[in-house]
Amino acid sequence: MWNPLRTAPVLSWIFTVLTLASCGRGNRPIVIGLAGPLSDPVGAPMLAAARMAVDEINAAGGVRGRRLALEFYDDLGVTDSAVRIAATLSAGEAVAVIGHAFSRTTLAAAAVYAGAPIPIASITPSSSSPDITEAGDWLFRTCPTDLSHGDALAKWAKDGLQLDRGAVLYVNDEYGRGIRRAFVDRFSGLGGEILEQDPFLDSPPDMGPFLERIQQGGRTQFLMIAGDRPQAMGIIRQARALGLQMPILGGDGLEGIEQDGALANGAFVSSAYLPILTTPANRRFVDQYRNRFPNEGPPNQPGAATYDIIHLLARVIGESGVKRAAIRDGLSRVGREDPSYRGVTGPIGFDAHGDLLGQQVWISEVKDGAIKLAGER
Amino acid sequence: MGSLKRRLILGTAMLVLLVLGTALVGISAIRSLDQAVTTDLDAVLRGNVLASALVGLQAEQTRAAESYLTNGDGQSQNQFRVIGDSAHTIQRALRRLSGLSAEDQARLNQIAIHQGEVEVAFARAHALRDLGRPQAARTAADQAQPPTDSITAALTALTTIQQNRVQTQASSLQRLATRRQSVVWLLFIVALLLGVATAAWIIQSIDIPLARLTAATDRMGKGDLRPVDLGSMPHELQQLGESVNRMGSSLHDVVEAVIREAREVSASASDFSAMSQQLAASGSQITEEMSHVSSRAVEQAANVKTLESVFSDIRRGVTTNAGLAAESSELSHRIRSIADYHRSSIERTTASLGELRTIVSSAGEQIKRLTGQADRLADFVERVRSLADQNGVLAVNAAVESGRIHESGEGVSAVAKEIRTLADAGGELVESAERVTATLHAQIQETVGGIATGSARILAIEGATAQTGGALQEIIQAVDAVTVSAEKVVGGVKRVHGLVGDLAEHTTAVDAIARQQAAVNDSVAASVAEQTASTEEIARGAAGLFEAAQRLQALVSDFRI
Repeated sequence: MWNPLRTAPVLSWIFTVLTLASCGRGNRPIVIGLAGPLSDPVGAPMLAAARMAVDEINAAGGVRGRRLALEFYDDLGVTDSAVRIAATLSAGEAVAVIGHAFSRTTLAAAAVYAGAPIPIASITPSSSSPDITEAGDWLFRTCPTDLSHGDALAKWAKDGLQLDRGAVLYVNDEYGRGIRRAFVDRFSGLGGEILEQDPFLDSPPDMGPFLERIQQGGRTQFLMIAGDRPQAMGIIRQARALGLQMPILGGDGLEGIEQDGALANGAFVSSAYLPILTTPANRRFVDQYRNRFPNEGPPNQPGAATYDIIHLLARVIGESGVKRAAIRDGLSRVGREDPSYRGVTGPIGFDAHGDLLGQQVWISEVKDGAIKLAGER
Repeated sequence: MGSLKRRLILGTAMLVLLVLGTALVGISAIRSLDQAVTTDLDAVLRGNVLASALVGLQAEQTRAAESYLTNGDGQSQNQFRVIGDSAHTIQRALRRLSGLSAEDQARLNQIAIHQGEVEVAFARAHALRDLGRPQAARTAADQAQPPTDSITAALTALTTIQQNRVQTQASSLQRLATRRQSVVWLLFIVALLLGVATAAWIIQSIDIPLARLTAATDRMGKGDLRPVDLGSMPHELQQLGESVNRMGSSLHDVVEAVIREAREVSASASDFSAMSQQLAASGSQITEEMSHVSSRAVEQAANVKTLESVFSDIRRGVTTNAGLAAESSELSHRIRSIADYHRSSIERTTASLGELRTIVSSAGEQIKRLTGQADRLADFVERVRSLADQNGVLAVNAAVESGRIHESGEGVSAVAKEIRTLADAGGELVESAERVTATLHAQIQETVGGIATGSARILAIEGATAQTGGALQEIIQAVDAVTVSAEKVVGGVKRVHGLVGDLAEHTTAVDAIARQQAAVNDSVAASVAEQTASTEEIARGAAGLFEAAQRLQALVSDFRI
């Protein structure tokens, strides 16, 4: 049986080879690696936005007189794939890598990028685990950490929704544990009570025993889901089936959940980026994105962040050259010695750990199949 | 290579380099081995510690989970979660271990996944237990066993792989250490051989030339100053040999010069002695002469005193002369004014004589014009005479004709008569005119003679007057000269007066100098006395010098040059 997830890496490799071959030998392109769940709804906008940014830069003359080229791989959100892809990109011609999208894959691949004979910098658009902060000097990210998401969600639940007791259902990986830890700490600190902390792994997970216990307990006022969008939809479906109508809160893994039907109505999602933001840069980006990819949904945070990272890398390569170490050094100066880059997701600069400076998190609510800005932090 | 210093430096440098190289290779080998061992040991130790900790935590977590299943206490459930978080922290630490391959990373990922599966299984079991379904809870808890076994197996495999890698690395390091050890030994032996060879080479380079140099200096010490051929030797010893030869050559020249000089000194010492005696005699003579000069200086001082009184008389005489010269000048001025007055009178007389001479000259001219008119009158008289003569001829002719034409010529005869009468009257008038003219000529001649005499006298007077004026002019010029001379005499007298003053001052200075001269003379006399004593001393020294020269000649006679 044909499996698109299995063939995606092969297809992406063929595309990369064809792209590189088309550039000719006289003026070899500058290769930027891209790795993430590109066949996943979370990762597909990354590839689309990356192509859009590369085309824009090449149309404007490229970087240092050379064209940009993408070398992209689908890691399927699996750590083993991420590790293999990281080894491939490290050994190739890529000067920097955008990826990976999930904290687990990013952390798994980070050691490979940093431990390569010629280390290569990677910039994750959406991996928010706090553990990434200590993952080395070659890893940067352009999204807020789970601490910010957990903090914003806890504050919104306690102060915005006036809720005092809740249950946390988390995917038992780096991302889920990160959000859980941050949320529980903050919510407890605000005087709230966490009655349940239940892990899951599958997608969609079987949350029956946990939800039944919550129902049996009868004290839980909301469900906080720290997982991805399919997992969250499975949990919501099961909860609603059990008659649990309590509010649903979720981290940025739930981005795009408004597209999943009426069950998602009433869910509150934290996000580092919203396509409904009305800044001129974002409007222009969203319009171009929709014009170019009319059959896709609106761009999500990983996509918008990938678009920004491509432009940021073009600036850094233009200033520092194409050496991997020079690019890493150039990235480390952004926001401190060099000015921040102002992208569609906001200003991008890095602290000493490679984390985003001035992290900003939005809380949106799903209403009638659309998102609406609910709060800002 | 010819330099001993270079040989020493080269040999030492090679030795140092070899020793340094040996040391560096040794240190490098030890350091690399140490680092490799440290890194690998650290990785293995950390890996083992972490793996052991992970296994231990897993066991504890399982115990806590089982405890909750059995007892249902919240503490065990909380402990179960806390231990799980610690296990994940250890997994991350394992992932950051150095030297992990992609396979190792994948294995760690599997451990993390299995860890999650264990936690999920027990969490479900706890939920089922809380829901009062112990059988289902047990079943769910049992599902944690396979991932637990997988974790243990993965950790064991990871540890085994690490240990194998360390063993492989240890073997590699052992081979490397053996190679490095061989290289170090080889370098040590080479350094040793090179050191011995260098030492022997350097000793030989020093010993032989040194023996030749010793022989040469011994011979020179014995007085043989002839040049020595030392042969080829290292640069420094070559320089030393050349220095010895140069020293011998210089010594040779010195000895030669000393002998020559000793002879000359010996000869000169005699002359010097005689000359010193003459000098002593001259000193006595100088003393006497100086005594004489001193007495003459005293006399000179006395003469200067006399000269001062003479200068005083001269000064007075000069002052008197100055007064006389002034009076003479005044008198000259007066003579000049009188002479000027007489010269103007003579100039007026000369002017009157000039006017008179002009008048006489004018009368002379008039007389010349009168003489001309008298001459023209004489010509007229002559023409009248000529006409009277022609009339007479005409009357004769008329009478002759009248005679031939007698009957018809009575008229003609009357006319001839008339003509004859007219001619006779004209003749008489002419004679009268000739007499008047002659008288007039005579008178004019007398007047001309008188005028010429007067003019001559006037000219004579003018000449005398001119001579008188010239004499007066000469007198004036003489008087001017006398005036100028008198003024010059006054100026000269003043200068003489000043000079006499200066001379008097100079005389005073001469007097002082004469006194100083006398003092100097005394000092010179004393010096001459000292010189005489020194000369005697020199004479004694010359005698000693002569003896020394004799001894020196005897000494240098032993050198062979």
